[in-house]
Parts: sequence; structure tokens; C-alpha cells
Amino acid sequence: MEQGHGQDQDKQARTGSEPSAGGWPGRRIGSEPDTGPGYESDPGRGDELGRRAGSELGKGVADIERMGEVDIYEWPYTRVQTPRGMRDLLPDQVKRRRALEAALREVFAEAGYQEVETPLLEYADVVAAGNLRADEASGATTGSFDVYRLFDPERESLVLRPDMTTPIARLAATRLARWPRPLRLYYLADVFRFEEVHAGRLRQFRQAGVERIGEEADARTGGAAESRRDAADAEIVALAVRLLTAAGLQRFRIDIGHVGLVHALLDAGGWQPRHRRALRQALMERNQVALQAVLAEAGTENVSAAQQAARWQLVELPQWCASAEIPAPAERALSALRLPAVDRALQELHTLLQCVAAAKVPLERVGIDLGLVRDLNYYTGPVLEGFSPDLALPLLTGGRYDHLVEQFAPRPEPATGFAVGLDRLELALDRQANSR
Amino acid sequence: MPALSIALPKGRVLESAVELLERAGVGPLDGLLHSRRLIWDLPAGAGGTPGYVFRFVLAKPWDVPTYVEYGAAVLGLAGKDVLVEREKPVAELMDLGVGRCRMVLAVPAGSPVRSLEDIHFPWRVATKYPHVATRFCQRWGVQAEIINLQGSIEVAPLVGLADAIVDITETGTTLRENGLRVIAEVLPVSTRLIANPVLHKVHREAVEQLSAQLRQVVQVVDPNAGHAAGGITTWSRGEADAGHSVGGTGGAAGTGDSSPGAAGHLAGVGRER
Repeated sequence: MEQGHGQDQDKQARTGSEPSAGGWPGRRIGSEPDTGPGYESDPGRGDELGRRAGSELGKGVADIERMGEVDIYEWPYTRVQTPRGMRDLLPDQVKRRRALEAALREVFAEAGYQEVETPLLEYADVVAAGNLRADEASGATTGSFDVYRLFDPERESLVLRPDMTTPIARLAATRLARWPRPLRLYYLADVFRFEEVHAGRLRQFRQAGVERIGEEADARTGGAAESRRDAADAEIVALAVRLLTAAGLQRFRIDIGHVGLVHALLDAGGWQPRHRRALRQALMERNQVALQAVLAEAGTENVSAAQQAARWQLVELPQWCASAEIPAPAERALSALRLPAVDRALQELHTLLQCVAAAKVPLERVGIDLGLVRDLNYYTGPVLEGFSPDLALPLLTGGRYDHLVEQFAPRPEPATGFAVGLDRLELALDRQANSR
Repeated sequence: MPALSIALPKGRVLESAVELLERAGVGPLDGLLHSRRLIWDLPAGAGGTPGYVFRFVLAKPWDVPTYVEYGAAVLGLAGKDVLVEREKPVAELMDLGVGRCRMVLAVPAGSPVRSLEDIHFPWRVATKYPHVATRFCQRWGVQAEIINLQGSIEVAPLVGLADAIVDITETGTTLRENGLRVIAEVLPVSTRLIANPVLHKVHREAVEQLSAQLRQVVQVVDPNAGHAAGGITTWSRGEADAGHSVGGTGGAAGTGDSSPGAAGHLAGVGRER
């Protein structure tokens, strides 16, 4: 079979048809060494490379010819690849990244945010404290990723930080405990996650983000706190829009959802624990087939009319997506449930949208996506996701997380923030430039 | 004019998928079945949303989720078997009801094995779905070695390569002809409409329009009917176990709890900050 493949390549070369069909375009091999992080680790691909080098591409290109002759299993030098999911930045790339970072810093500073740095390594306990993802019903975690762990010579268990929100919550609860609220902090930092490397996911990647923690002292007395929180969420959304605009991205939208809605509907539906788990998972994956199947499987026995209505609304959630306003039919259906928690979430979204509009954010930059379900244990209110049609992945993610800071101090503090992946942002900017 | 790209699986399911699309008013697509071209553009006005060109990309069934994950196609038609094996972060929009079959665990007819409990180490299970088979075995405490093959799975027990297989079967004919007997159902399978979660939002109108058209013609099937055993048919990542049921024991077996470690790779999809 391998042999046949090779002959096929030769035939193509002879007839001269479709020189770049079905594989790597030849020009990439020499010019962009970092596009294929693992040809050494993938013998099939390496063979193909070698064969092509000998047949159709090799003429007059010195490095390709040499690579074709090398037996990849007898690489004569020290190992040359970087760990999976980690990349080098060459001078031009660094230059470009620094310019982008400078533009982002300017936006953060203008909004009154101050930069902080924290160590690359944190005690495993600290990262674990920030991991609110344990499922209350089963103890299993949802939406989790692995982290890089190591022991120092004193047997302390350390973790390479998988995000910046937890270290900053630690700061807020300890060394910045007496600083005036709200704390407005930003960072540009590398984070590390042991994830499957695919579709643009890296294991070390750089994030730019903000955290807005706490409210002014008088805000904690009564009703004023609510509106201040909405204003804080709106500030974060407006900042996200300004940030992506400043980065030069032309086509993007920040979608807003509310996990309170999901919680309220889950609670009101009278589901069994195993159905609850299946639903949470299906909502995170936007798996509408699974949602319908759980609904059918759960049946209608011993389910009150009110519970059934809440169930229907829950599985409908992923459909409600619109620009800059809550879809009217969704609002009608959800209000009809007469659930205080649902009404509260809808009210918060309305106030948030009003605040965003008042902050002069262009309306086409903001969308409502009631099916936007990010981690349900971690987020406590509005959640956001920024995306661009130029990139098939989310660019920016964030939301309100009111239970994190209290993991580090007896004093709970409301908090909200977001992070942008710089590698993805650059990719979106590249696509934008190429599509012109 | 914007294009809505849809990855279609070549092979077994293509014909019924195309027929379904045509019934939904997208087409004509018969040329697509009889040509060797891999990209087909359907001009605006031929079904779907006005102002959108439909671009069909013919891919290997196993690759459809990959096309969609990377955004090379906005939508795709993929079998549930492939979706659970590949665990790609794509959104499942609809069960299209075509390509129905079952993933089963089967043993040679003459084998003394009657149920999963009779399987012991050093048993070997040959399959095209190592990931699913591993999780199935873990779920039911089956101690077996999984052998990953690319095809002709039925042969493995005949030549002594394996003691059992996990594979999909439509009617059971191939299994019977190869002297195999089903002892457990792993997963009911059908073709799903999947979407890239981000591009779904970008092309929302067109996707919704197409979904609505498809919904008109898709047969509504009770997810629990038509299979040997009941249980939730949502074998979504992370809740993998919910859908398992052992053939012959009825629906009750499918109510298992989530096993630790089944959290899957949804890594970072939930929380990426």
C-alpha cells in the first residue's frame, strides 16, 4: 500500500496534474519549518515527504533533497523538536507580537487597569483551590484539562499555571486585600495546559486578560450592589470590544450568555442527578441531539406542568442567539415560567446590554447567545465569548466568577474578567489579511 | 456570495444522505453521487437560504468531524460512531435518522461466552473503535486487550487474532455469515448533522433555514425504540456511560453512573481562561 502511494505520487509528477493536491503544498516545506510540529514523530508523513522530495518537488531545492535522503529513524543530531504544543517565535514573529501587546496594553491602561505578574509556578493547592469544577453530584470534573505538575527538591508539588485568574484571585485575597476596590488588574502571560494539540490549541500559549475584583465598600449594602455588578460586567464587555478593535480585528462579535439561566432551569426541572449531569455536558457541547434524548428519556411521569415547562425551555436554550438583544420569543417563554432566578438573570442581561449601549459600544459588536454555557461550576453570572468569522475557534472568553476569591480569604468578593488568546488573535488577523 | 460548506461522508451513507437533502428541498444533487468530483457547488436558489451558495465537500466519513472542527466546513454529516470515537468539539444539531445501525460486541457463535461477565483477561477485542471499545470495557469491568484494526474486523476471531469484536452492524448479516453472535449492544448509531460552534453562529440564518427544512423530512424516531435495549441514546462525551446497555437485559442496564475519568477532552471548551 505504501508502495502504491508512492507510484501514485510519481504518476502525478509525470502528468503534471494538480501538483499540490491531497497534501502539503510543496512550498511550505522549506519556508515554514514550524508548520509541521512533528514530521519526525509521524513516520507516515515523513515518508511521504521524502518520496515527494525525490519525485515532484526536489528539483533544485537543496534542503528538500537532503531531507529526502535522511533516514528519519537515524537522526544524527540531538533531538531538535520542541515539546508538543509549544512553539518558537522568530524575530519577525516576536516583533509583531510585541507590537500587538503594546496596542493591548494601551487599551488596558486607558481603561484604568494595572498590570501584574505572578510566578509561572504555583503550589498545586493554589491551582486546586481555583478549580471549582468538581461536580456537586458525582465528584467528577467537567470541562477540565490536565496541568503540568512537578516536584521541587523539597517535595513540594508545583503546577505550571493553567490560567491567570486563579493567581490574581490569590493576589486580591492576600497581598492586595487592603487595596481600594474595585481592583482593576491586567496581565499578558503565558499559561500551560496539557491538552490534545489540534485545531490551533497549544500547550503553552499567551493570554492577555483583565480581572475586575470587588466593589466599593458602600456597594455591599443592599440593592446598589446589583446594579454595580451589572455595570462591572458591562465595563468588561466594552473593554473586550475595544481591545479586539485596537488589535485591528475588523470582523468579530462578543456574545453574552448567563449561566444563572441554566442553573435556574436545571433546578426548576426536577431532573434526576444523572440526567442533570448529561444535560450539563450536552449544554456545554451544544449537543442538541443529546438534550432532546435526555428529555425523552427522563419521561413525564411524576413531572409537574411547571417542571415540564422548565425542561422544555432548558433544551431550547441553544437556539436563542441574536445580535444585541434577547430574542423576544425567548423572553416571553422564559418569563412565563415565573421563576425568580430566571427573571433575575434576564433582568441582569437587560441591564448589562443597556450599560453596554451607554458605553457607546457599536451594537453590531455584541450578541446574545442564551445557549452560551461555559463552565457551570466556575461562572456565576453573565459569560462572554468573542469570535471572528475568520477563525473557527473562540478568541476571547470570560465572565463573572463570584466564588473564586473566597477560596483564598474568608471574605467573598464579586469578580469578572476575560482573556484573549494571543496566538489565536494573531491567526485571525492573518486570515483577515489574507482574505483581502 | 457567501458559501455554506457542508462535509458529506462518502460511502455507505452518502446515498441516503443525499436523498434526505433532496427531500428537504436542497438539490438536485444526483450528479454528486455519480461523479468523482469532491467539491460540489449548488448555486443560490436551489434550496436553502436565498443568497447562499451551498458547497458540498465529499470527505471520508472518519474525516468529517475534523473538517468541521477546523472550520473547513461549517456543517457536516457524521455517524455517531465516528463522533464518539473521535471526540471532536463540534456541536450536534440533529439526528438525521439515516445510516442507522448498532455498534455491538460480538463473539464467535461457538464461543461459550454468554454475557460480558464471561470475558476475562487475556481476551482480545478487535475493533475500528479502540476508544469506544476501551471505555465500554472499562464501564462494564471487562478486562480485555483492545486491538485496533482498520477494517475486516469480522475476520479477526476467525483467524485467532481476537476473541471478540466491537463493530457496527446494520442487519447482522455480515456478522452471521462470519459465524459471529452479538452479546452486547455498545451504542446505537445514526447520522447526525454537526456544526462548528463558532461558524454556526456566523452563518446562523442559513444553518437555521437548512435545519428547519431538514426537520420537516427527518423521521421522528423515539430514541429508545428500534434497538435491542433501551437507555439514553446520548453518548455525549463525558457522559459516555449513560447510553450503554447490555443486550438482552432490557433498558434497566443503561442507567449507570458516570465513571471517573470519563470527563473526556472537553478540556478548555468549558473554560478557556
